[in-house]
Amino acid sequence: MASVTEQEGVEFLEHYLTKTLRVSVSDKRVFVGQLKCTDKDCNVILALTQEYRPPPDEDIQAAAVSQGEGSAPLQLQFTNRYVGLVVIPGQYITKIEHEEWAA
Amino acid sequence: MTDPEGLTEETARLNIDNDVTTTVDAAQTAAQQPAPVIVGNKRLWDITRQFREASSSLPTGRLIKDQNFTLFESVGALEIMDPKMDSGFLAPGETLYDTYDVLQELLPEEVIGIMDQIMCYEMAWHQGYPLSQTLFTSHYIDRLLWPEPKSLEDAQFDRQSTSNLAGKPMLRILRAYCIGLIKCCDLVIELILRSHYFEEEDFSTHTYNRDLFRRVELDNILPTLGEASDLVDQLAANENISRQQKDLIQAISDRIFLRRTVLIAFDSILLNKRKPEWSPVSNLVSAILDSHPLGKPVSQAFSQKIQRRLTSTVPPRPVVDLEFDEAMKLMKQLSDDCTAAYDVFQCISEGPEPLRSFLFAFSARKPEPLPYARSCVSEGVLARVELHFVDLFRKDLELLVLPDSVVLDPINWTIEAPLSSTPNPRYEMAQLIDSFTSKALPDFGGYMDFWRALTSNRCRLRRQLTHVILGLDELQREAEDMDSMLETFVDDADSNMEEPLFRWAYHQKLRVMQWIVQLGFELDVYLTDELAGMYWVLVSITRLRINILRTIFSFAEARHQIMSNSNMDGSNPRLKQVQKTIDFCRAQLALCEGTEALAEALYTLYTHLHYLHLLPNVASTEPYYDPTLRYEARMKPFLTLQEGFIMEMFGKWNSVIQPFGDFDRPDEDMSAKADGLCDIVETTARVARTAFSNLKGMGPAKMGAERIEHAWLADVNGHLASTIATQLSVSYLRTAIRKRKIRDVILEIPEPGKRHHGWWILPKISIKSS
Repeated sequence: MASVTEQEGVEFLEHYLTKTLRVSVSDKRVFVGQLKCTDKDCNVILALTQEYRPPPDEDIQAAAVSQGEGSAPLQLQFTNRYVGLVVIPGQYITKIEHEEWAA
Repeated sequence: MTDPEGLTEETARLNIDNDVTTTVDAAQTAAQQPAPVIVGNKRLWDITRQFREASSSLPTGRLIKDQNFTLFESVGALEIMDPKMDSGFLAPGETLYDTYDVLQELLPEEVIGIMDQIMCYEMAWHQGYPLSQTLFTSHYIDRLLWPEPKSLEDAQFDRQSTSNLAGKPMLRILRAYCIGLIKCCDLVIELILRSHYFEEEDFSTHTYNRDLFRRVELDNILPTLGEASDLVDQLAANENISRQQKDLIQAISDRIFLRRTVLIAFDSILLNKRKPEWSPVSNLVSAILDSHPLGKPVSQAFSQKIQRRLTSTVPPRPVVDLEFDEAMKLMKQLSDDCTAAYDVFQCISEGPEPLRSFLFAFSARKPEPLPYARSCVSEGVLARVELHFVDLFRKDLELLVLPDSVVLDPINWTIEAPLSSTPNPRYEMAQLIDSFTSKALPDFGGYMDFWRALTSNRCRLRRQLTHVILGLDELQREAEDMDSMLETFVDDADSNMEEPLFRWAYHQKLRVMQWIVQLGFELDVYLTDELAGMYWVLVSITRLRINILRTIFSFAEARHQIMSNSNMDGSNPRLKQVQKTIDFCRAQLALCEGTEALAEALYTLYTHLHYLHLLPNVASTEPYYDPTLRYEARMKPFLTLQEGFIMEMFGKWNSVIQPFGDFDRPDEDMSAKADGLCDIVETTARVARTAFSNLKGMGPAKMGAERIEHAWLADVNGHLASTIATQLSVSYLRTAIRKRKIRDVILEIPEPGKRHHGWWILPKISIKSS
């Protein structure tokens, strides 16, 4: 992959400012918020952020056991809460997604 | 708007407009073209790789940011994965919440353990810690309050279960106890929020969106506690239980009774001023302290992780640990303070002086009353505002400057405005006093603020009084005009003092100034090398006050003479009123004369100690030390007042604090002066002692302090002891000088709390034995 020049990088990143991003971090949480700021180390500042947390493994196992054998997929809720303005250090980011309403 | 490939219109335009960037755009489109993942009604594009590449192309220090987003704002952002900031951060293996089975029936000793722990948290909350770090760490309380119960019946440990804790008596008792506790918290918060000033600075009223049964009446809560008592009684009635079990049940019963007592007491002060019944508390506290070792702590019943559900932006903070003994001591103190606080209702009806001495004594209580107890006092003083302040103000005027005066005759207020052009003097007087009252009362720093200040704790009292003097200064100016108008309406010049309103305002102002300086000593505001100067200021203020008081005193005495000559007997209410003014002036004069003399003694003593180089001279060794600047800083509250001597001193301050020239190079031979200075200290201290003993002889009634006789006596004794200690110190000093043993002198300045009286900082002098 050809390395990206600074100007190209800036344009790419500026395009996503104020857009809604889904940022996954290493402990499996997902943060959904508006991109406000980023830098060289991919540190990301999100505004109006909601935090989503996957159910703990024990709960998944418990649900699988209680549902028994069957083809229906398990239904477990992510717990979410509002955390507002956050900065996510780049080193913990595992995935960045751009989110949009499907028309 | 999106095009079929899932690109936004903007990106598309970007691609067309910027030919230069084709490579990136190709990369972009290549990555974005794979159809977006559709989750629910959202489309998602994975841009991880591009994002990372783009950001790594940035030079160090370059930020890509929204132009409306400031770096200042970013300071407030929470850093994810930082254990101190990220409330969702979990250490490896850590779970988000602790699991605890609240439906597991408990042993009696466990219930005691939990109740006692709750008690500790409750008192920690009273001390000012937030609910989140104290009571709200309990799983039981959390379950009762969240989700928000719609009724009291709804408040269960488990909302799903229909069994209603059948067959689990211990849990039912604990539930009742918790409900009683929650209502207690609610009542405390309600009162503290009602008190008009500052208490919320010392106390956390935040309930984290939990409703603490605000709408549930006490009458609905008490039966729940009653049921718990019944349950306990049933258990106790069982004859088969052992002695040990009986003790356990008695211990639980005591705790429920304490909760009930406190709950009713908290409620009664709010409602109809029923006297809160705190008397059982002190016995219960000792019983509970005795039975505390029977309990078995259940630490799993509390978890600091519950805080995660209370606030999302703050990671769990450490739970506040208060020792049980300490908690019970606080409970006892709370009950004592609240009992004492209730006297405020009587004091208000007795007049301004009893109220003032009560409030002063209350704020001086040691240990300092908890915010709740202070709120009880301010509730008493401030809750029914309009009703009594006018009354209080008129009584204040009457006591000092207008005893038995036609000006304050209640009849004046019943006279209607005359129809003819000739003014009715009585009507005009009432108008004038009303207008003076309305000027004095509501303004910032006015008479009401004065009372409000007195309900605060000591530090705030001093700070707020500095606002009050500004209002009084203004009032003093107004009073001069009003006095001249008043004069035209009063025909009987003998029975009225000249310039009564001016004198009242001026005296009140000087009194407040005196308190500000004295509270400065009490609160250790001044440095050691400033003490001499500040005692000098105190002398100046009291001297002015004494002048006014003497004038008023001689007027009142003359008046009394005339009235007794005209065959009025001693029981005549008019004569009594004048007598009251005489008594008040006499007691105040004794206090002021004592204060003036002792302050002068200390001024002389400290100055002398400076010349003997016995005091650490902290300030003057500093490079930018300037006595005038220091004076300005200390006089700040007084600088805008129309008070001559404060401003005059600006040029002369150096000669006040260094009357014989520089401490290192005195103009005169200090060894020749030493004896004379010691003489001055001794004489003035003796004068002070006589004055304070006089005051003690007069008793508390003359100052309106009957209700707080103990505190009053302790206060006067403190003054007396200070004069004696001063005499003692100076005699040691004299011996040291005579024997030329100045170098062997040990000088101690006692800390606050270790003084005979907070207002007198006495140097303790002793001689090293060789």
